[in-house]
Order: sequence, then C-alpha cells, then structure tokens
Amino acid sequence: MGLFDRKPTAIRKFRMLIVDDSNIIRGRIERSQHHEQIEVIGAAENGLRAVTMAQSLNPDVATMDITMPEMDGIECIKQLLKINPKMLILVVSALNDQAMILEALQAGAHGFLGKPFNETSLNRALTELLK
Amino acid sequence: MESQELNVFLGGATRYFSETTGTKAEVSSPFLIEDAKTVAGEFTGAIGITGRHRGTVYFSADRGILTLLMHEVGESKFTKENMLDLVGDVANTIAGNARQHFGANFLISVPTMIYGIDALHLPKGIKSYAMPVVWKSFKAHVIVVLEMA
Repeated sequence: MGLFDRKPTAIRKFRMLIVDDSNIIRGRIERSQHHEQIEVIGAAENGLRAVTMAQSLNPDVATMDITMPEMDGIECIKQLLKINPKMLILVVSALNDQAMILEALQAGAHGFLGKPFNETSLNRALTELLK
Repeated sequence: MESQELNVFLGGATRYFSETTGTKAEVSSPFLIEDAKTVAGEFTGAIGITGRHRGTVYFSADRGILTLLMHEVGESKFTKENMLDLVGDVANTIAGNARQHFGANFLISVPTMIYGIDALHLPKGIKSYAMPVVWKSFKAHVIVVLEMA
C-alpha cells in the first residue's frame, strides 16, 4: 500500500455533557470549547437532570458546576461515575478554594477550572482533561 | 465588616470582568447604604451566606452593562431571563471566590434573582455596604450585607 492509499485516521470524539444551573454558562461553555476531539451532546441545568441524561446519552466527558439546585455537583459526580466509571469530569466552579478542589477530586473529578474563566482557560483545562 | 474583608469582594468583581472579557473594571471604595434604591439596578443576583458568616452578597446592574457583557461572551439572546441569569452568575462567582479568603465554612446558596429596583430590600439591623463597579462606562454595584453568625 502506497503512502497516499492510506485511509485517514479517524479522530476519536469525546461526547460531552455540560452541567450548570446557569443558562448563560451552559451556552458559554458550548460556544467556547473548540477542542477537536469534543462534541457537545447535551446540557443539564442541575445534577438530577444530568444523571437522567447520562443514562440515555452515555457521555464520555462532563463539565460540572458545584452549587446547583436539586442535586449539587459533588453528588452528581459520584452518580455519573456509577453510570460510567471512565467518564472524565471537569469541575467548573466559583468555589475555587483548596478544600473544595480537594472534595471534588476525592469525589472522582479529574480536573478543576475556577470561575471566572475565559475561552483560553476553558480549552486549556479540557486539553489537560483528555491527556 | 473590616475594609480588608470588603476588599475581597471588590477583588472578585475586578477579576470577573478581567477574566471574562479581557477588559478591566474600575472599582471604588465601599460605602454604607441606608436605602437599597440608591444603588439597585433593574436586575439583581443574590447569594445567601451561611456558616461562620450570615448574610447576602448581591450583584445589581442595569440592562446596558448586562447587554454589553452578554455580547462580550457571545450570548445573543438579550432576554430578561438571561439578564437575571447573568447577575446570578456574577454574584455566585464573587461570593464563591470569597471562600479563598473566608475559608470552607463560608457557605453559599444557589442564586436568587430579583427583578426591579423597588424589589430589592436589604436586611434590617446589619450594615449594608455598596461597592461601585464601572466597566466600559457602565456602573453596577456589589452589595455586601454580612455579619458573624
């Protein structure tokens, strides 16, 4: 087989769920993420809704707020990892103190992005998450 | 509240605009307020504080600054609901970031949104401080009403 006969290598797409009670933030994350391996498949306004959506959509990645009604982000991380233990979870929260970062990581999160964030910091955090 | 503690919230407001939009906001020194109407905007986000402290952190702004802020972050739906959502997010970010100073026992609620200048009522019996935030010639206020629990 010659060099030019090779089929292009398919890039693996990670299917991402956005979880945040703010409509503005859900929209910002969807618009701002430009990672070539990420495809946004849904957005949930609280942890409970995220769990329901994860059961049907089976995402590979999730961004996760902490302070939300119905079910907070820490409990949601635990529930999502029961559905898919390999799911990669990036917490995006204003509660960026050491105690909360530790609590999120202990719950099973793989990364933490403090708010306020911008397009650059979001994409950097997502790139780190997928490494 | 000590002025050093109020500066924590000023820092949070500055950081919000700088990080989110790339354009710095100017903040002014806190002052005591008696009447909420003197600093209230059309839209207010309120975060309840419990734990070692008790009170509320507000971010209050008018339609002009919120429209421009939404534009900066690529939001094209300038609806009342999105403006309320945005003031809630700014208040959440300012209050949430304050945990770095006050510690993990500074517990914050989900945002409550208030529409209308006349609808903002500050708690009685606790000193209320307002901090003006000017961004791209538009003014908003961070309002802090906190005491030790």
